[in-house]
Amino acid sequence: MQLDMLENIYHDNLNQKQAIYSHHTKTTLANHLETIYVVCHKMVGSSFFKKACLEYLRQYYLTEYDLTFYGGFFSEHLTDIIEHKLPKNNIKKEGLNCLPDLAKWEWAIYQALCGPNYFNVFHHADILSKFDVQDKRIIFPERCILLESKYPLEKIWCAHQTEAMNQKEYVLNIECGEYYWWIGLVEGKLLIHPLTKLAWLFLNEVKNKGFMPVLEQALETNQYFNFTDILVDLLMKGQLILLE
Amino acid sequence: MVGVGVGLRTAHIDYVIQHLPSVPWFEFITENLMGDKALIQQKIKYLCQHYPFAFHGVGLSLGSADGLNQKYLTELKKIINLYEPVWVSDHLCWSQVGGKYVPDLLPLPYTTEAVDVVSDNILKVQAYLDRPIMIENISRYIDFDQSNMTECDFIKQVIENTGCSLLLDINNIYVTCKNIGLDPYLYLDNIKTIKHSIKQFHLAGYTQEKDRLIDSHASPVHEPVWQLFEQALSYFPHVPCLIEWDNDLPDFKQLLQEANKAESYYNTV
Repeated sequence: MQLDMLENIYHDNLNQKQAIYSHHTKTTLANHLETIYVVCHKMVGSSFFKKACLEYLRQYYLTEYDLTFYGGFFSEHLTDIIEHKLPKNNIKKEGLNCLPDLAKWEWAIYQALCGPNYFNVFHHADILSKFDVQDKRIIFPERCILLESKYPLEKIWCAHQTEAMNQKEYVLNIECGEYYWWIGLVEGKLLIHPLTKLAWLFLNEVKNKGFMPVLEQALETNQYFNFTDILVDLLMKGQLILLE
Repeated sequence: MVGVGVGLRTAHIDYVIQHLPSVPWFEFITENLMGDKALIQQKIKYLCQHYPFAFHGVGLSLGSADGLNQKYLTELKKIINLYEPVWVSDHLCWSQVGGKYVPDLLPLPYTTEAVDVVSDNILKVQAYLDRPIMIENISRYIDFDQSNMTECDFIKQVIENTGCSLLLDINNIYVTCKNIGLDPYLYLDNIKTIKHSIKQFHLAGYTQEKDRLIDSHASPVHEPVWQLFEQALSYFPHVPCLIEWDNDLPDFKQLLQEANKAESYYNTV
């Protein structure tokens, strides 16, 4: 019975008396998505965004007790809409191509600000115990996000912040290229660092494999970057953490 | 704990840290501390040195027919050990089944089968946490045809089976009774037979939507709820109370005004 009721809540199949639970669920989850994807919302307008949200919550149920984790597949959902659900001759389609990457950007910002963020106080003894530091004294701060895109997402995002929008004229020149970022929360402040491709590749390796394997690989092959320089730079910016 | 506490929401934490206002105790939403949220955990750790704290959850889902979420329980135990709250409470409802959640407090049919499910879950929670918990009556918008007992009888049976305590939400009594067509004063009259199990009151504001009251926590406590609170205090004069406000949050001073108003009712009992 509970499983049926849950399905009916998400798919709006409840009778008139019970519909309040469906309405409340839809409102809560849609408002949550609206809170995260502010710039995506501004770019596509309320009608498109609301429809995308309602389709999303029918497809992706809340699977954690914590709402903070809800909404992480919105980028994939937008890709699906743009590629498969918009008419081929839709004139807006081309302008929406950066939208899935922008959704990834906004999810990264949201996770940095509201998600688990224990790396931020990594010096705390309770927090340190979370890391396996047997063979790696240098770590990639957990929950920090590495992003790449061919669109200048930071520029697009900044241009849609309230202060920028208040300016009477703002012409945004979107130059496609190769863009890389590190996003995280340091001492309570959101930090967005643009990265070189080399630094991004390096950080990705450390994030995926751990520091020591990457160090060993670099010493063996010494093939793709000046290890010491890049390491010092990343440590100084807090993009890697030295545990002592 | 004694007196009138305040539900401490994230937006007010920095203010409270800065001013350390005169509040006898605070309640914090359990889920906001779970899952390695270091920034907020540090702040609450600091406030725990200055105030008694209660943890109030919305995600335990004590009425889930397919059992409890072990991941949730593990996280809950971790933060309980870390902060040692005076009370741990959650709602008499369900919100998850089959690994899927609804961001709402869903009602249960009041049947003997549901009594068994809830009782079994509460016993497991209490055994795992090694401490008793408190359960809160929710606001309901519907009644189930399958129900074969009143909400009060349901609560009494669950408490008898588990030894847990009751967090009696006065606003929820009013909202439920108005929505279902019951007498809130009769509800209070029925629940007073378990007066020794009632350890805390909640007060909050509701919203009128068409012909229904919504438990919105988005306004001051309404006059009919104050009147019901006064009646509750005549039955249970020493039970502490908490002011809840979750949506359209005012500045902290307004919450203090609500708390002072609640305090004044104790003085007239």
